[in-house]
This record gives sequence, C-alpha cells and structure tokens, in this order.
Amino acid sequence: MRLTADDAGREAELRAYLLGALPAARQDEIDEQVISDADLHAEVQATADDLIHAYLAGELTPEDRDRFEAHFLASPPQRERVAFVRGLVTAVESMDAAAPPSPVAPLGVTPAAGRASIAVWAAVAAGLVAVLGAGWLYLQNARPREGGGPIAERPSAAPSSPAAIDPSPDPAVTPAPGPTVVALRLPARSPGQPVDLPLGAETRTVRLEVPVSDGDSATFDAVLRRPNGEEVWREEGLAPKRFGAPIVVTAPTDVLADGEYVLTLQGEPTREGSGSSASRYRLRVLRTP
Amino acid sequence: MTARWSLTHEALGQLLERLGTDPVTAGREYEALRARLVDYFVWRGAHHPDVAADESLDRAARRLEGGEAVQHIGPYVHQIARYVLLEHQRRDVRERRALAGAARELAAPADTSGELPSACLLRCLRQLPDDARALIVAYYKGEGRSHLESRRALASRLGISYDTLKTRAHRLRLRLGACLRECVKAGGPCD
Repeated sequence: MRLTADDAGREAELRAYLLGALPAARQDEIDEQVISDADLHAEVQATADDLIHAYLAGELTPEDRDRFEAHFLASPPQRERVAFVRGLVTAVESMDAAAPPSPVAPLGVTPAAGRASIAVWAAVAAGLVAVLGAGWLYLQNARPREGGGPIAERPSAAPSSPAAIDPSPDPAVTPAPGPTVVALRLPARSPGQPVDLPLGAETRTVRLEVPVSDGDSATFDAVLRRPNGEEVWREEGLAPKRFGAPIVVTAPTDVLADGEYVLTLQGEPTREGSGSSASRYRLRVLRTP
Repeated sequence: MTARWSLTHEALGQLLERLGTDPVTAGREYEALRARLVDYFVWRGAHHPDVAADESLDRAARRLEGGEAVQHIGPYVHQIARYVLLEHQRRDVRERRALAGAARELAAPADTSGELPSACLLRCLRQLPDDARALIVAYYKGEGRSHLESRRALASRLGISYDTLKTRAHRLRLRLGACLRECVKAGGPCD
C-alpha cells in the first residue's frame, strides 16, 4: 500500500505518522517503506522539519501540539532538531528584515548558473517582490514614526504590488482578514510606561524591533516575561543585520495573552572586555477579537 | 549463560553482498540503510537510536550468515527493527523505573530551547548561492497563509511539484546543518 498521491492528504498522513497518530497497521506499513525507500525517507525527514516549523509557528491544533510534545519530542535528537529549525527560521527572519532582494538585479546569477537556476531565481524573486519586498517597503514607510508604537499589520495575502500597500503611518491598526504579522518598533530608550501591542485574532507572529547602538554588544539575548517573572519567550544570540539596524525579536502570538509583559534585551559582553548592555521595555498586549 | 554474539567479518560480508554488487556500492548502501534505521528509531522515541540501528543490522547479518533465506532486505530489516524497538522500549521503561529520581526528569516537558549559534547560521545562509538562499527564505515565509498553502503557491510559481520543493528545501537544510557543524567546530564565524 503506497502513500496517497494528493499533496495535502500525503502531507497530513506523514504528519500523523510522525505524531504517532495513525492506526498501528498503517504506521507499520510506513515504517517499512521508510526503512526500504530512500526517497520516502527523505520526504519524511523534510516533513518532520516542516512539522517542527508548524509547531514553532503555533500552527498545530492543540491535539497535535500535545502529540508533538509527548511523542515527537520523546527522543533527544528531535529536540536538537527543533533547536536547529528554530535557529534557521530566526536567521532567515533577520536576513529577510535587513536585506530585501532586488527583483531587478538578482545577485550573482550568471548564465553559467544554468537555466534552471535562473528560472528558480526568477520565480522566487517574483514571490519575494510581493512578500518580502512589500513588507520591507512598509517598514520603510513607517520609519518616520518615533517614540514607539505599532508600525503596521501586514495583510495576510501578499499584495500584487508594493504600491498596493497603505503607507499611512497611522498608528491605528486596521484589522485585516487572515493571519498576520505585527511589527512593533520600540523607541531607543524605554519610555517607562507600557508600549501598546495590539494583536488581532488572526495575528500569529509579532516582530519586535529594538534599536541598538553601534557600540553595543555583537549579540543579544531577548527574554519576554510576565510582570511576575514568568518567562514566555526567549531568543538567544540575536545580532543586528548591519550597523544601525535594530535587533529583531520574533515571537509567536500564542504565548501572549492580554496584559503586560517585560521585554529584556541583554547584550553579550564584547570581546574588548566592556560590560554587557541591557534594555528593558514594558509592553501591553491588547487582544482584539 | 550464553556468550553474547558479536558481528563477524563473514556475517558483515553476507549483509554487504545483499546490499550491493561491489564493495563501494554496498558500503554506501549500508550507511544509507543505517541512517534510515536511526531515523526510524528516533521517530519511534527510542532513547538510543544509534545503538538500536546497529543492533538491527548486526542481527540481520547474523541471520544471513546462519543461512536464512531473505527475499527483500528492506522489509526484512524492518521486521528485525520492530523487535529491537520493542526491546528498547521495555529497557527504557525499566530504566525509568530504576532511576526514580531521573524519572521525573524524563517525564518533564522537553526542553527545546537549546542554544544555537545564530551567527554561524547567518554566515552559512549567506554562503549559499543566491538562488538557494532565496529559495530557503521564501520557503520559511508565507505569512498570512498556512505554510503548506504558501509553499504550494511557491512551488507553482517555480513550476515544480510541491514534493520537489520540499526535497530541495530539505537538501538545503542538510547543507546548512553541515555548514553549521563545521562553523561550530571552528569556534564560530571568523568574519
């Protein structure tokens, strides 16, 4: 019995396999195929990484999340894999935030790279224009805003062109249908009072941009805590993309309920031996239906 | 008490013969089969997947040396691996019971916050060819839609199947993983 050919059905079955949610007989059949078939083994490996990504992005159903934590993470190598995927996503996010690719002059693609390579770039670039470039433009447009506050909610469906993005710096967040990302630029110095962070019902990810000085540490650890000290999110080894660029902390919104939080950005001591720097911000999460 | 069987040169030779017609191909296939077995045990929650994979292959070699007729080596090894898994699961349970203190630790929620040298990962990402880097970035984007949906759309734009896209992203992750290990071994990025 082979796996189902339909993409969604196949994906769902492989995920269920990895979560130990299939009937024993079917689980056993796939076990045998995975051991015998190198291609299927590679596909299950890829699905496992995608499953980890879905877990980190808060996309799993509560039932699947429970299975993931109880079954999938039972083995130490799986936990290491989660750390790898988390690091990769963070690295991709920071790369994306600081260096939007130009669709006009693709970097370093030469005729020698081959037709397939160029085709890949062209198609990817087309997507990136809509998704990444648009987000970058939006952030650029919002940059004049100082003193902290929400930059924008990025609509879930990528607009057809950058011009379709509303450049209004109005801090009022317009609810958009579908899942979104909220970006919040924090001021260079903590204002003392909480900075509002409105989250729509469909918002899945929040990007907190924290300005750092050039003389600050090379890498930073960011921790998001409740006022009682309970840690809800942590990212370590964060680095600005370039001098002057902010540190970007990316957190899934499912760890954030209504209420106050404290974001601490702790710099690692520099090699020259100077002390570590620390910033502390109070945030107020406002969940909207 | 019977002596514990250990892998002999002859037994390994029998197994390798079943895996490839020449020593190089057979050796390569042995490593590939072992890697698949390790993942099988990982995905089944075995605490010592490498040990379990080696035990499975050793037993297969032993039975082949004993003259057991085997039609398809993959399903055959799978049958052995099932028994090895059951034994390991029983052993793991015994270990948990014996180590009363450690049992709490084993039952505790998994710590997935392992620190990763992000500077290394960033450097590895930058070292990828531009089209490969663009692909992996696009693969992990897809805000506003489920990742499966956005990846299907990406595959469509690329003119490839979703499976092919998944495989390409997987190969890039393997490459990044290898680069990361090298970078960490070297003590971090120099640039």
